Amino acid sequence: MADILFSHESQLAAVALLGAFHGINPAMGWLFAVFLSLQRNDQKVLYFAILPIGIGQMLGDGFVIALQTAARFHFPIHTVHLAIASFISLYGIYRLFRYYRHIRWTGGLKVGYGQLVLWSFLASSTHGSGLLFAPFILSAERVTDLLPLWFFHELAMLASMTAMATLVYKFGVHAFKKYIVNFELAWAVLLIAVGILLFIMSGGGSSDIHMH
Amino acid sequence: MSKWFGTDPTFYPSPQSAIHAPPEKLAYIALLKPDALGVIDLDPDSPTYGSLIYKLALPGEGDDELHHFGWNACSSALCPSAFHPQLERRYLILPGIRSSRIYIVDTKPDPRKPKIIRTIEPDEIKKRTGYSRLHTVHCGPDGIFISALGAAEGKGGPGGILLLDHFNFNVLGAWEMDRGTQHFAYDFWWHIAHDVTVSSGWATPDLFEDGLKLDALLQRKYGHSIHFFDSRTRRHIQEIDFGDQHQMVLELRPAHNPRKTYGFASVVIDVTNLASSIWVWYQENGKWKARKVIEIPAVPANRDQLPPVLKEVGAVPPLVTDMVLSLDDRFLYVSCWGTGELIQYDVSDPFDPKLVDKVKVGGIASPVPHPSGKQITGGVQMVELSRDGRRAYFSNSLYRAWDDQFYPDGIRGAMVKVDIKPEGGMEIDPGFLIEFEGSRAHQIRLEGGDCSTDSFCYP
Repeated sequence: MADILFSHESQLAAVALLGAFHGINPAMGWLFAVFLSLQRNDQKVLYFAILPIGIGQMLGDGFVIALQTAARFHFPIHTVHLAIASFISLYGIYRLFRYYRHIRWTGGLKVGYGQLVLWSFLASSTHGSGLLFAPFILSAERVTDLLPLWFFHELAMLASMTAMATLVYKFGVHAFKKYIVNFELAWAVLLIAVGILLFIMSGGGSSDIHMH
Repeated sequence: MSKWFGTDPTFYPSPQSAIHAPPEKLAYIALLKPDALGVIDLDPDSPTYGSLIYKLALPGEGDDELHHFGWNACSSALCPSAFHPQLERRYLILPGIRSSRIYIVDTKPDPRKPKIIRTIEPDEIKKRTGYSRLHTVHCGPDGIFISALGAAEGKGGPGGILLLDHFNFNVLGAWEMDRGTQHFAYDFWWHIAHDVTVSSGWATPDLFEDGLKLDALLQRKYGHSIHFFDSRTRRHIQEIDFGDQHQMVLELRPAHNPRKTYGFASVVIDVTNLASSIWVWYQENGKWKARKVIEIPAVPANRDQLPPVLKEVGAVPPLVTDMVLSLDDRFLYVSCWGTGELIQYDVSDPFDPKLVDKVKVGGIASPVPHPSGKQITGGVQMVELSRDGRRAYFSNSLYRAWDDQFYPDGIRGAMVKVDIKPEGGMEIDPGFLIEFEGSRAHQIRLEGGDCSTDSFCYP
């Protein structure tokens, strides 16, 4: 099970999947892009809006990833490992009970592209979207190992977001509302799962034994 | 709440999609004297169709006097920056205009038998918000918004808007950061996609609670303005004064289409000629403007047909006190409580409304009976429209102290149904008349939403 964290290809696949998962969450951006393009009656706006939303996501992700990476390479690995594992588990439990809450955005709906970057940054960083990078950060030898992972993560996120936005723009929000998944609840469960996984890894990690 | 798939089926992204919603099978109606929430069966296949099937008594101390009420959540939960797919249209928020108390009523598991799950007492509202005399409820993005007509202490102002949390119903506080010149409150709504909130002004409690004050009306002391706020910063942007002869600005009906930035405001009475009027507000070069587009004149009547309050003037003012705009923004329905008329206008061009049809029931002078032959007291008052625009329902009482002035013989609560043809034209359903023995009736809400509940983010 933990093998997935140690082969380069499977790591790429895992981060891409996580990115795609983020991208299809309506609260992470594509719905805002659909809203803006419908409101202005212009499909081009859909793609103009996705870009700043994607940048905001990358910054939000990047912020959380950079924090964890800095900690990983500056403090004893075991301490960092336990600290991150505890944080993710606790945040996951917190979100399990408050998954339906989100940051109160006071920038309104009639936003410019700059505000979209800010909105997306706040939405993704408070959502904790970079937290699931923890297993990769903790198992990385060098910072440069993380760059392709981060790049593929964002690329997959942008791709799935663009695909969702295009589909929903084409078929309408109405056709889609039955299938909206409760991403926030799934996200809380995922956070807890990763927290537990990290604790298990730390238990076996000291002697570099992988679980099978 | 912990649903894995889909949103509440009664949430619609656009007004166009909501038009295709299934027809309503239930209505909830505010009953007064004694305070209660009535449940009306509107399912034509049910043996109890067209009757009051349940009455939820409100146990609070003193008079609550329900006026307007609303849902905890609606289609605005699909807006992108306040996306709440987990919310349900489930709880009715019932504020008492006299008591300042709020009842939270759960319509599940049995929508035909709702129950009170929480009561927010007046002291808590006053302490946390600085407001009292609660009025209009709107299910907003990120919260429940309620207008309040008075300040916490005494019978004066300012009134304003307060917020409730839409998950746990905690009282969050007053909404405004800067109210500018706004003092009176009554109705409010928004152009949701444009981050603009509009509010109207009736009066402060000293001017309405014990009845209409004729001297104050002639001295033009009631509200005559609408106010625009920035919904993001909650700051006052602009006041539009209709001129102080236009007394009591009540209902606000912004276009449902989120691309549009116009709406309709109703004025109860012009003190120079007793007419009611409808105004359109609109945006031009970044400024808000308003223009009178409809004037409904008073109808001369014999003194012996008039209550004391109108004896001197020798006419019945129309007293426009409610309006509803169809979801396609095409038809505006205006209720004239004084003359007992419901008027349908085609407002496809909001600046040039065309009268399409009228129905008459009740009225102050020579009241018109219901087509079933029964005599109706009061006049056409709170009107609500089905989402498909084919059925309107109205009640006949305004506000207790004012009812007694304009209809001194008393009002027996009633609910009437109007059938509407797709291209305009109305007919009162002769087979549908609900009379509430011993109670008065005010606002009606339809199960699943109606035309004055939801705000839509997607055109």
